[in-house]
Amino acid sequence: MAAGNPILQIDNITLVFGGVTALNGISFDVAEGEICAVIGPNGAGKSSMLNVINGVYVPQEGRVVFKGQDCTRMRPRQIAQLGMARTFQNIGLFQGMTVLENILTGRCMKIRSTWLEQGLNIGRARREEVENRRAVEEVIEFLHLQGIRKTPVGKLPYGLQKRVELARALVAEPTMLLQDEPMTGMNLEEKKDMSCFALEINREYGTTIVLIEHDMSVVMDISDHVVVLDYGAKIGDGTPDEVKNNQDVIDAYLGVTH
Amino acid sequence: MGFDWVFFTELIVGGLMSGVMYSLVAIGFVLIYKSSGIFNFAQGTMLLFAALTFVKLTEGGVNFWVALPVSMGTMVVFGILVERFMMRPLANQSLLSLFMATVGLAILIEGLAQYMWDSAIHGLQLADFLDLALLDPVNMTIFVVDYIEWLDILISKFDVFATIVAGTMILILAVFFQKTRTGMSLRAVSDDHLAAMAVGIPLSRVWALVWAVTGIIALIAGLLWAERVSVSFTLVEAVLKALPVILIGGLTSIPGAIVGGLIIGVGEKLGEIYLGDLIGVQGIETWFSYFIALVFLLFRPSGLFGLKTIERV
Repeated sequence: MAAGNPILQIDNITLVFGGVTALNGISFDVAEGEICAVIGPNGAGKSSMLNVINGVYVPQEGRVVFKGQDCTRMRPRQIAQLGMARTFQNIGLFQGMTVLENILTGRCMKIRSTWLEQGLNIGRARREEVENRRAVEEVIEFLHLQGIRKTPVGKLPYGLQKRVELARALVAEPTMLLQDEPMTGMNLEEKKDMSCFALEINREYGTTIVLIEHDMSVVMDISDHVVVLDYGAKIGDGTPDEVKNNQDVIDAYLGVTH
Repeated sequence: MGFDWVFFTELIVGGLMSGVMYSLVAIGFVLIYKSSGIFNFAQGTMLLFAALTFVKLTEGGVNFWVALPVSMGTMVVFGILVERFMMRPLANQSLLSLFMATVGLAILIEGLAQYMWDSAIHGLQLADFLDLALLDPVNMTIFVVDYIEWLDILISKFDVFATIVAGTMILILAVFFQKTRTGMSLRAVSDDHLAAMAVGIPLSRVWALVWAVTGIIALIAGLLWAERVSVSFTLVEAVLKALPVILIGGLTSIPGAIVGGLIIGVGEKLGEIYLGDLIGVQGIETWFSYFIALVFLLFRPSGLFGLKTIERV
């Protein structure tokens, strides 16, 4: 993928929980249209990083700039309105709803009609409903979820739930997609599917993707850009090949003799 | 052995009408439970506070049609304050903390009601404010007496009025929360706060809305109920009537609250008359509804329409 201008700039982020420094002066850029993987061993601060980008945590120091706007102190909803969607490590689906309803919630920012119009199903509400259904169906087809539209998500196997969550994020037509460990707990085939989806989303819609992954091998094949964290610090940043040959990264993953 | 069909019909109609009232109160519980995942312990005191506000206003000489919107406005402000000072600081805390917060809220409102108004018993004759000119469905004449006769059965005119009001409220609420996106947001928020925020659902606004709407329900239900039990602290206990209703219907379902209310309303009337005679005990109406709820729970632990097991009450 051709890397464009930075769409996301992480500038010297430090995040502290009590006495624990989860992130220590992290800086990196994500270029428009690329797939950027943030990797690192357990407890490296990957999820914290994602939560800072997404506005769940407010860092003590540093800035997050998305599309030229400082969004360090924005709330998740405001950031979502700027065009950022995310998935969760432990699956953040609405368990009581069907697949279709879950995906529909992803369209909630596209709604302009008032509750009165919706209640009576008139005016803008009707047009929006048609438009929303179309968008949802497109995503359902894209991610091969046709057969399970009406199934309550709680009944689906883990791998499919992750895919529904991806669909919900995608239907908002985000410019940037954050994925928190999209492949964790999946078997090899599901991992391959998930990698393919990431690539297709990136190619078809030009969506910038930032994904967190524990497993290096999967990530190296699909990413344009890899950032490596360890103990809250950045130890590697570059193309997959550069990172693979980085001595610090090898040490962090394989361990060193002391 | 002649069965008194007229009397039976009267019981059913009466039961259905009080059932509608139970449903309305139950919906107040359901809305809070759906959006916040907690059982709102303060529901009863909200009912009292709302009714007291209205009564004191009218006692002070304020016109009925002014007092009503003013009381509604008070409950909306109340809802916004609850969101700002209770829900928002406690977001993502354990549900038990939230539940305890509603217990605190109940005590606060009770104190506030006594401080702002007083703890005396106030009579409320809603019928006096309204010229209850309802149409007779059969003869198309205007009712003139307190009780109406319809198909040979006696129905209290106020009950008819209360049923129409409560029924309309329920209908509006049902359409609002089932058909609009706000309803969907509500369910999303109750399932997963963080995910809802990430999707872009305005969490604060949904909570404020739900608490405000619950406040308005409390006002309407309080006024309709006060007609029978007067405005005093017994009104708080009246809310206990809604407990078996939500147990039957399931804490998460608005249709469940409606069906549950009707079952309880009819069930307790029939139980009082026929079962009471059978076992020779009077006044079983007070506990019979809990018995019905218990039987339902034996077979449907999460209620008729409940989504998941009720974990916290």
